[in-house]
Amino acid sequence: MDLVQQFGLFFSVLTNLVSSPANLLILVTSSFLGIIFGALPGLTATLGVALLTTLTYGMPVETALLALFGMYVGAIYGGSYPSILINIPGTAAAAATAMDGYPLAQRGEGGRALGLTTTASFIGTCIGLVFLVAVAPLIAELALQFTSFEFCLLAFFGIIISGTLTSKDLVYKGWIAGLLGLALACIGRDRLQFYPRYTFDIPALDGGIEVVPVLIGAFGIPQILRVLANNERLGKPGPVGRVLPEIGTVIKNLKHIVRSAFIGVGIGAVPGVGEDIAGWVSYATAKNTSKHPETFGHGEPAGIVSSETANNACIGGALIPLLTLGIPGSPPAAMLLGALMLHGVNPGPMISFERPGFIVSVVAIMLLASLAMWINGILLARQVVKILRAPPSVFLPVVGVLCVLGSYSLGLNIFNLYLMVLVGIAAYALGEMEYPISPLVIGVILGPMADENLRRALMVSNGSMEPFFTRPVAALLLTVIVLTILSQVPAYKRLRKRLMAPLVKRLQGALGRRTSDG
Amino acid sequence: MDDDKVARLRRADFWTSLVLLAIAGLMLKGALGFPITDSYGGVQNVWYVSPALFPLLVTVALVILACVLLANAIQTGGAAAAIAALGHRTSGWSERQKKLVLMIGLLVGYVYGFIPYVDYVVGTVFFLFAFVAAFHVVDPTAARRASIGFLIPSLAVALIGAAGWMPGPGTAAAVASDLLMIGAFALTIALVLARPEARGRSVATTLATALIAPLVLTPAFKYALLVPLPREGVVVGFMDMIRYAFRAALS
Repeated sequence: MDLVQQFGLFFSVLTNLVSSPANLLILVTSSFLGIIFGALPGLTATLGVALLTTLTYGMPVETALLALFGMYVGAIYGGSYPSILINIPGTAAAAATAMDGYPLAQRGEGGRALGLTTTASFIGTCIGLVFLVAVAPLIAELALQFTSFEFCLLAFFGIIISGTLTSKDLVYKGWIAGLLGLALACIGRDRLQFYPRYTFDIPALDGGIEVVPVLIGAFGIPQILRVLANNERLGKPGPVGRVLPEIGTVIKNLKHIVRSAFIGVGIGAVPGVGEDIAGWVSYATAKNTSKHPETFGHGEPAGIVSSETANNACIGGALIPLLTLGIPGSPPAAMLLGALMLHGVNPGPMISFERPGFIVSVVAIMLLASLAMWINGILLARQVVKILRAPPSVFLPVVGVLCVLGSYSLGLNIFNLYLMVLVGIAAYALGEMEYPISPLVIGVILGPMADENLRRALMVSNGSMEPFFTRPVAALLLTVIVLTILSQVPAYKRLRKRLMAPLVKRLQGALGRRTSDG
Repeated sequence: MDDDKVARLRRADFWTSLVLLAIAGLMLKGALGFPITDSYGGVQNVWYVSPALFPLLVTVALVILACVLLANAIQTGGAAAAIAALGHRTSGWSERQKKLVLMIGLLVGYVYGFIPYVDYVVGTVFFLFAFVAAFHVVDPTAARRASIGFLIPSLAVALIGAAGWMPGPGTAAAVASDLLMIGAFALTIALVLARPEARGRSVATTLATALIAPLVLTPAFKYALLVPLPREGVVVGFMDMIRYAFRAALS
């Protein structure tokens, strides 16, 4: 499809969606709901997308995506409200925003801070989608060369990288979480021979573990347990003045916006690493490169703009591996992958053939979602602030009921509810021991892909492992996986240090000579 | 991460590694039962097409990582601390642990007891009342009464249901069990309100949330999204009647 055709398709999707009042209503409502989900501490973008997925089951794909993206973009942005107004991030993605947003609100400039986050988030999402439309077709074309060898390794690569980057304690805890996800994915009849594995003669397990109840359980239940057990009480938001787009301040901080968008897209494209890391990395970069780093943490607009641009740009980045390789770039993107599969869309290299123009449609939908977010943010910010006054002890039990209803309504199967509760309790226990949950979920999603492609690859090579080493992309992926694992082995660390020491010494010597010559 | 937390994590790592080894053992036992090179469904297997290949791979990786976790727990003193803690009597459960157990109990009672065997609206109203009251009602005695009032019938229903003695939907016995649960709910409210300290705004909010949320969600899912509810008993049946009467009046 050439550029003109793509533009034509883009505008036709845009016009089609906008011309339906029902679609507009769904878009604005889901975006507003997303902002509320992001704004209420304890609710997350992932949970919002998970719960909304169950409601979109009967909708056409484009309308469903409109609702899901409205929720996703809105929730990532909505997290900034409590960050700014009560110094408690609504979502982890907005944690960095609190650093400068709250001091600004304390000075009575809460409305200004909200205006800045609204516009920065909008710009961030738009830059993210520009990257999506530019990069995704290239990666998809490259991925067309992939065979079962690459896909198998890609699944392991996603789990290893996500485990490595999301683990707060020991790195291999992330890998263990990923392996537990893969173990869960083994349950059910295998896809090649339909042999029942770990089904314990329970018919409900024959079809395997359903992804959506696992996701709702893994992200919803622990959140409810954690917030209520820790007795997290929220402060009262102060008065919010007028919320304006703050175009002048945004233009002044253009360099921060552009850099943060790049950081956001880059981090989003790494499997399993989400908006929270993008926000912090971007904030730290803005502070380190600023001429006045001492102003950060005291209401510096550049700090707010940087973290908000990055976390929203991350959405576009997370969609790049999701749409082209079938590997989610962030936890909400993992949920989105589950939603797409429910609607019969199988993201991956074949997407351009199975559904020509799908990526362009997603870009059009994301543009509408970010516009809806911006309009809601500017016009309804004060209403959202009122919702912040709701105590978690009242709304979280209702979220629990929604989790139950959401898990049930997809397969109309009570077994899914039993599963959701068990997964939720296990995920909470794992979280308490600092095991990251994203690799577990990615493991459940990518497990069937890894299993099927591993065996298919070995069938093609008659059991030979050689192609894993001789095919360039497979060899590259294998090298990255092995190096990532080795980097955690103490003996390897010592060896690397020993090998690097003379090199570092020589370099330091050379630098010292140059300085003394100078 | 502070030192106390790291020490707690290393102690937990010791037990987790043992649990992981047990899981890996069970997985291995299961995987060795899958056809590896023998025939299945008329197809002669080779090892690389076997359904056991992937589970075995995952099991081996899990065993290796569990051993690394265990070795680290031993090396950092976590294992010794975990074993030493076994002999000591702890001073009972902390407030946080009690809250966690209560929440899990409420969820288990709702999902395993009420959802499959009691009218959805009745079960959900009762669950929400107990859950919101446990964390929102100011008077601790009233909150405890709400929790116990829910836990006893819901866990009893779960046990009776697991034994296969709960009546099937649409039977007279099912209607009777729904009415019994409505009675239990009314009794719980009465017990909560019997405390003069509890008669305040917090109980009103609790009751309003417990009633409004299911009365909004149920019609939204059943009539707008056409999702049948897990158990449709007396209250959902009554809602159906209202809907039919409303539609008949309109037509």
